[in-house]
Amino acid sequence: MNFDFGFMIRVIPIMLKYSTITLRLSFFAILIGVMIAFFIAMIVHAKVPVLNKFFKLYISFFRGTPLMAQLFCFNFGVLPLSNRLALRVSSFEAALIILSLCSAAYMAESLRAAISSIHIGQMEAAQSIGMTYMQAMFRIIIPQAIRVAIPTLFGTFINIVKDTSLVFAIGVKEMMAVAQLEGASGYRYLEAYVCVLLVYWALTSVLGFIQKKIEIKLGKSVGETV
Amino acid sequence: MIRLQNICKSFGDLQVLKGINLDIEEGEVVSIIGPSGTGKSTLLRCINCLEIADEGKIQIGDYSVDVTKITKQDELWLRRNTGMVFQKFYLFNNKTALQNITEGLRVVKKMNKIEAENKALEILEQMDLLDKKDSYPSNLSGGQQQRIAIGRALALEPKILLLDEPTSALDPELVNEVLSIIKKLAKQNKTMLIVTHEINFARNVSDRICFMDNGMILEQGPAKEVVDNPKNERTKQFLNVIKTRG
Repeated sequence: MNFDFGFMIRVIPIMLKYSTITLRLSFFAILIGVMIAFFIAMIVHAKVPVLNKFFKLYISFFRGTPLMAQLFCFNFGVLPLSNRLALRVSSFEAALIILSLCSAAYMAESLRAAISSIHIGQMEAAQSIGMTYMQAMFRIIIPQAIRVAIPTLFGTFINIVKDTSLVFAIGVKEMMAVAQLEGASGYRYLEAYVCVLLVYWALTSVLGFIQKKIEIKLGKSVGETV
Repeated sequence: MIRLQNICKSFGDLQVLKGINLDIEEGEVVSIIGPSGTGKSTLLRCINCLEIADEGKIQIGDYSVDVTKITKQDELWLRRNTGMVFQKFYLFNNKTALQNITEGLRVVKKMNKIEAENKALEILEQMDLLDKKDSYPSNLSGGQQQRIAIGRALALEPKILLLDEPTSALDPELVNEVLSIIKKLAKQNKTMLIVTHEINFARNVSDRICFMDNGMILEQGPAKEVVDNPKNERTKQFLNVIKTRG
């Protein structure tokens, strides 16, 4: 059996076309996930009664169960409970909802840990000059915490991109689904899936590159010289 | 005038402050000396509301707060009118020297950017650190950081400056640069309450010294008198240990 480069090169444009689905899904899942994660991390850090307990349970659930099972349960279990809802929510949206909720659980933990890692003296100093808790959080604590959280946050971003490869299982037509179709057309599975891998690798490499840039920039914000 | 009445504070079963009464006149410099763990820092933290005392009254000028009925508003008022200098500086690590000082002016005093920066530059000059205005704390020595921390507190023109062992975390060689700044402030009649282990410094710079042990003020009086001729047995013992140590 020989590797058909010609086939792979023909598949690449198709993959790139469908990689926009991956990109869109990843981008919005990261965006929504980060926002939810911030909210949760602040609540858990401030130990807001009731909500604090609720979100700890939330984090434990989404980190402790497989993403594939969450996707299936939501798409084939929860959504059909309300027929009208199931009609209005596309499989792309269902995937986006679950990916956002799940990644938010991971990122909330990273952010909470990062916030706790900032010395209590920073908060005390901010409060001692008369800043409110919220002012101190947003102006002093969180900017420092983000720098600490960047490596683990980007780890989650990369996982989100990779996890989008699971959503074909609930009927989102993205790269994996297309690779299967294209591969089947000429029994060229190897070429099709290698192509998928390369596209994913390229996407996550870009993220890695961005991470490095951000780390350098944030390092400067506390006076590190490179 | 600052008046503390019957300040009590416990952490769990441990009673740290057992009814502190202290009056400080405007322009007066008062030092608190005493062994570690006797509640000196806790007293400052209670005035600055980093800890809320269990009992007592804090009066600053005409503003009087009964700590058992303290509101968020009172806390903010007390913090905005008392400046705190920490043993370990606690400069904002994500801000330059200049920004550390403008931060409070911008956010708390709502000053505009130019006004705040001009004021901060003035203060940096006072602290002899104008050339370090764009440096981040991680690139400054302990002495420089502490001087900026003093500037940060001063910028808000507090009615009293609270200094919590301002030189204890410094290399011996850097102690003097911070002490000389405090001396300068004393000459400008800034009202200050200083917790310190530098007995000689306290003797020279303060108007009055309080000796604190076990959550109580055991002796207070004119600085030189307390250091040179202590009346209380416990004070004598404490000062003797320090003097024989050299």
